[in-house]
Amino acid sequence: MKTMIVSDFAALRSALLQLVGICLVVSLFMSYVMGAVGTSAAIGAMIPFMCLFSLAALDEQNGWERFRLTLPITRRQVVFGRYASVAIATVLAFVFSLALSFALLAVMGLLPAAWVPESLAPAENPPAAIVGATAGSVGIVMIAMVVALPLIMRFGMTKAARIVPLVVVIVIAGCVSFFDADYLFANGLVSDLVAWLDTGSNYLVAAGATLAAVAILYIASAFLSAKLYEGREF
Amino acid sequence: MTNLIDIENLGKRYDDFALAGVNLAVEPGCVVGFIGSNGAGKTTTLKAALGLIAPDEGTVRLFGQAVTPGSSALDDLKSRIGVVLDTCAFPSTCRVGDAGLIGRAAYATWDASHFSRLLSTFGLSPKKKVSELSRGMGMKLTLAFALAHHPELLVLDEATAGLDPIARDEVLDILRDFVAEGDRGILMSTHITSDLEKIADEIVCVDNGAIVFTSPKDVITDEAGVARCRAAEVETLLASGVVAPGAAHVMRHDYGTDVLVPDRFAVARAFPDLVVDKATIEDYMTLTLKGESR
Repeated sequence: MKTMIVSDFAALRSALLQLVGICLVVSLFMSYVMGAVGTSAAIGAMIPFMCLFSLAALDEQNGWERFRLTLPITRRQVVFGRYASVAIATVLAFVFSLALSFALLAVMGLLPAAWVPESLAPAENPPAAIVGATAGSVGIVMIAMVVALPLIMRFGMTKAARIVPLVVVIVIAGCVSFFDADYLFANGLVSDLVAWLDTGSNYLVAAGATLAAVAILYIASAFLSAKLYEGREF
Repeated sequence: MTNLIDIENLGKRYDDFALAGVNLAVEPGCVVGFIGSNGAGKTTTLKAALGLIAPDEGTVRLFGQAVTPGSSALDDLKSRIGVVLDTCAFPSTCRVGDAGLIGRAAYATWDASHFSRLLSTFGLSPKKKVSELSRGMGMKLTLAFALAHHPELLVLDEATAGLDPIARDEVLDILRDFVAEGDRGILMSTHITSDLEKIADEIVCVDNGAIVFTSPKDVITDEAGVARCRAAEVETLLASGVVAPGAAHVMRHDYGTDVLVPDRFAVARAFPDLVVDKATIEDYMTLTLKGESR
């Protein structure tokens, strides 16, 4: 597993450095429009997904995926190593996006109030909401990875790129038909949820629960991927 | 002494191709050249040898132990092997030095100073990006990676492809040094048969999924020959009894007929006026695969 993590981060290093630079620039524009809450959520979601697809694409370059299996590393270690790499990238993205948002708010706090855009006013960006929104977006991205990773491990990036959108559309369509949006809004379930989130530290409670639930799904996805990867031929 | 690789009766079926009855062995101290046309089954055989694919029939043994794809026991076996496939496989975003980090994580026996020496010998800067390497430099990086953990067996698939003649000679020197210790061996698949003439001990040829011949290299390059005949001389030669029935391979071309004979000295004695050249591995393979067996 260590071999996978080392090789993944060696391959990602230059991309990660570029991503950090891009995120800094993007955050300046986004925060003006969406505030620190939206910025943190967007960047927290963007980085892990970009890492996953970069790694999957690099696997298929020059037969790296095949060559890697000639190293003393089992297929299960390849899969679990890849999940670990993506999880580490996700945690780093989570911390980075929070740090970026709080740093942005700190800088805004030093400026005269008249200069600070309304979207970045402290009242619009409570810390609990920033953490909750970031956890929520990271959770959504991890659910996407829970679906995408087994397909990528089984079929490779090229084939999976055709299959993943199909699966996502089916899942979304299933969710839409299962959860009747009109019913949810009409009966005030959504507004109740928003009100609950705005109460006390419920954003943090929701964030913790979301991440814990997603982590369980992520681990289950890793075992499914390991099973699928065993049968793949190179 | 236990063979480094033992492949017995290997079979693997795909929709459009089948490998069948492949036997191949690499003894310690030996370099085995594995030749054949494109799509003949070389890479499939190497993949099975490395446990990358599960054979449908037959057995593969590495260092005397049966290979079971996906098993953790295979990891121990793979740690004793250095592999060079037909491309530089490291991710293009990595730097040359990153291969050392990967090697250190992967192999308990990784020798960082040996890797640095090899990079220096090959003129590779650790800071250079893999994407900036030429094909030849990429192959050198892969070879340095394969050698830096002191493997007992090297499996090379077109390892010298893309290298200039001087670099190829350097690589062959390194491979000679590697195998000189006696207990190590090399399985080398290549289309550059002149490299095998310089280094191989045994030649195995595969065609259309089956082994066509297995022969000591010296039998091919020292004993066998190609008689350059006019049309009328072919039948005389074949009827003379100097060549056993079925042992000659005849191929006609625009300017005459080439006859592959197993003993060029015997033919030269019996037909002093006939030109009988030494056979190269390429001659031997081409005439065996394409010539008419007589």
